Amino acid sequence: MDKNKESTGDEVFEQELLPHIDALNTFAYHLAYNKEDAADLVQETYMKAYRFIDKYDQGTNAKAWLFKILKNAYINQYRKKSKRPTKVDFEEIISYQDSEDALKPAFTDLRTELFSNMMGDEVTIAINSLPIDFRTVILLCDIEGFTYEEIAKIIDVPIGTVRSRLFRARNMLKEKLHKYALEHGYEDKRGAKQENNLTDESE
Amino acid sequence: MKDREQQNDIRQKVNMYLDRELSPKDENELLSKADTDPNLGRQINDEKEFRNYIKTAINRPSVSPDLIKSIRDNIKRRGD
Repeated sequence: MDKNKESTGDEVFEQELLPHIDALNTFAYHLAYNKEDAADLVQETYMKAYRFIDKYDQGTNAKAWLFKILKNAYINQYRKKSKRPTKVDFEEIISYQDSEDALKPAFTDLRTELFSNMMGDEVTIAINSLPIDFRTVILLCDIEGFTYEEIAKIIDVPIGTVRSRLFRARNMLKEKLHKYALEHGYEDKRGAKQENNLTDESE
Repeated sequence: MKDREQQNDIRQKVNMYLDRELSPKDENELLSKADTDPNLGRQINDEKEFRNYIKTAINRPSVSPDLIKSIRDNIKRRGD
């Protein structure tokens, strides 16, 4: 890189790329399950981003670009660890049939109050227990606020797949949290309130 | 079966509405329906609350200053 390009690159890096480090770290942490691997992923992402900074159009969507790099870095890391000799696609890490989604009933018993006393750990455990494809769309959409179009570009799938995967992922997450809440004795206060109201009315 | 498909279709629309992915026409239709259907209104609120809950409760480990320093140092080394 020549000196002028290098100083522009450094400026872009500091002003447009580095501010996303917290979001990238959260994403990496929920992909890798631990802080050390997450830090390695974030570091690798920034090194790659700097190396290919010429490919980045200043003032465009730096966050989406970085997330795509991180996702690819994660796949490569996963591939190395699992010592798989052949090239695998992100979608092949844990495959599933999108077409089945429409046939499965939605989880309708969403009682938010049931979850209100839970700590963040339960949410993290529940999200981390989702298969990677589902976990990824929840993190990108619900936690980071990316649009369907941005998510489609980050994970290289059609927008329709993003939509159906999100639908299924949210239902799975609700089911897991609901099950967890019941197993750990959290009470459904809304039901209790309704019962109390009925008792009050009958008195 | 048809009921389930219809329910899933409505839930899908609620999801898309909260994701700001519905067309203005579909959004108006959904909101008009919610005005007259308390169940749909409640469904939208529950979904909204659930998402807020997930967003605030999720563990977001902080980035150590050492990591930022290490990234900057590596980049500087590469540039030298």
